[in-house]
Amino acid sequence: MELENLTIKSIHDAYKAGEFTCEDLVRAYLEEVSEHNGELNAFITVDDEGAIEKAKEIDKEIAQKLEAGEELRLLEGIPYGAKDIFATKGLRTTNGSKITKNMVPPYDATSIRRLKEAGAVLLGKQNCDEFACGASTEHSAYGVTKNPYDTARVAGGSSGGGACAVAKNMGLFATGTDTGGSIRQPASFCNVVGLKVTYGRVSRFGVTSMASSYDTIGHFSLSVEDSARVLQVTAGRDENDSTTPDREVPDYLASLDKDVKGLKIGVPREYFDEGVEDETKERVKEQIGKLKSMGAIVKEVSLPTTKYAMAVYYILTPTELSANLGRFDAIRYGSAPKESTEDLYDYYCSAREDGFGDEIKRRIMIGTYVSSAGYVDAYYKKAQKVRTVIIREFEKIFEEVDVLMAPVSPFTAFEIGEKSDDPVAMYMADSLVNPASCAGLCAISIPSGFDSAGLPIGTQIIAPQFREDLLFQVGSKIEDRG
Amino acid sequence: MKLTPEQVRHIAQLARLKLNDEEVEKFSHELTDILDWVEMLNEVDTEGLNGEEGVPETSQVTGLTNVLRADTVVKCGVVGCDCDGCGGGCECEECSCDKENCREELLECTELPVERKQIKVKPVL
Repeated sequence: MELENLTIKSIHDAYKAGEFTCEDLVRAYLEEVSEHNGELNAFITVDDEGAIEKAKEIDKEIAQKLEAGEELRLLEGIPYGAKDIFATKGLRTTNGSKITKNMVPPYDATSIRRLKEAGAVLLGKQNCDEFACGASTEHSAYGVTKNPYDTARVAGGSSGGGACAVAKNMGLFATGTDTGGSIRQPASFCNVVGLKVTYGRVSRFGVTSMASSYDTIGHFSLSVEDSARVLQVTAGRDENDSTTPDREVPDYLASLDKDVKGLKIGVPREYFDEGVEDETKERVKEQIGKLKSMGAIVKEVSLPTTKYAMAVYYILTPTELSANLGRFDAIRYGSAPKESTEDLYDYYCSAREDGFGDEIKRRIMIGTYVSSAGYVDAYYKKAQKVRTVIIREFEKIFEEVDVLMAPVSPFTAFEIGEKSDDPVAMYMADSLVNPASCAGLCAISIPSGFDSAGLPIGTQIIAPQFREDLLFQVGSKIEDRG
Repeated sequence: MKLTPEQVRHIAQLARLKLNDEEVEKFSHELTDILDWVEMLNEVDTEGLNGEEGVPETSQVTGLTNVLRADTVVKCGVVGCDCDGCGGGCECEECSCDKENCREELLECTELPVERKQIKVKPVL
């Protein structure tokens, strides 16, 4: 079976024509997993049995539906993987952390439930930085995920497992979370489409919280069209997540057919400064050129506060993280400490010492410090105010242009270990994806060719809140996996 | 600003983290680097120093406020089930529990000892 060029639509056509069954497809993907996962480490847990059993069930349903002349569900029989911070009923969910190495959730996250109800088949749980904190998946307690284009390099992060899996045909799509770039950056490193939705567009219920005011739920796919189809299923109000607005979910597929004539594209000059690799700038400018030749209006704009977004992020998100991870105390969540402890305080500390990795400790420490008495005004409140300044700047720009286009990452995939000793250097990997996160905007990473070393480059499209349709409209015109 | 080892130990205590001396030393450098780096935010005028109004803080980016739900009793302990007190084992579609009692299903999630349908933890006092 040729997995390379499959789409949701082509799979459904094949099911209808009887070319292959869902079980065939699941087995084909699982074969890829068993062939490549040892080296690439994209999956933490593979659910072979569950996936095959589910596929058999789906095959029966498909047969019944075809006989009755009924339509297939939107994702009927589509195999996928989930980042290991999505709660999956009965299937271990580690958060990439030792502290929850044995956690088996008693329920499904809302997004997982919606995918299930639409007929998608879960293959397993994918690797990520511990509690989604990182830009390289090197901070996973389950080992680094390697880049499918060069195994000496990282796949990006934090959702590195999903990006790697989709690039290497270990499932047709994968869920991810993007708090400060954790979908777009690995997507660009691995040559796949990575969607970060508007804050609140997809329910966060059942996904382990990292930074609650930034966290968004998105996904990786091979094509923009498939990205739109998956969002059609996951988007919308959920009464279990009060940040999901009661707002209509548009027909995303319809936006794929719209042309870009007259569409105004802003190119922010701060995203093309000297810190960005030349080849990356060239590829992204070529993509913008393509749209211009299709009739889009291209305009250079300026977002001077871009450079402050990362600093805002590294005050606000560690603060939220340190509060959110308070529940990992080995009573509510997490494994008991290895050694016997004297009292409750000692019990908490020992469990967290055993269970948390370095980056998590570092961020908890930062978050605790900047939100502690005496420092909260100087750091936390100041950052919240600068966040407002950044948001206003985006709002003003979107009065002039419809979307913004820029590189996803200042550089292509870096070598494993290259940045792990320097937290600030690692943080800068997200410098171009972070501002959109700060303002809760939607954005997408679109495959855009390779550099001279053969490493993938991604173009980022940023749109106003709840305008994912624009991302699909523009992205579908330029996607190029080579 | 340089964080002293004493400050690092104090923060660790607040955060319920146990750090050895080596970690205290390492974190005092790394956290200092990070705090020096975020100092750049002071370049941004947010207090209206130029005679303008100060900038408000943002904690919710889409502008939703006070989102409430109906205050109703949900007796079934299984998340996602909204049946009215089936105690488990009902056959409504939303209810995913198929055991005698949902509580048992939830108790199975803990790694701690369970006694008389309760989780046993260390004494607080």
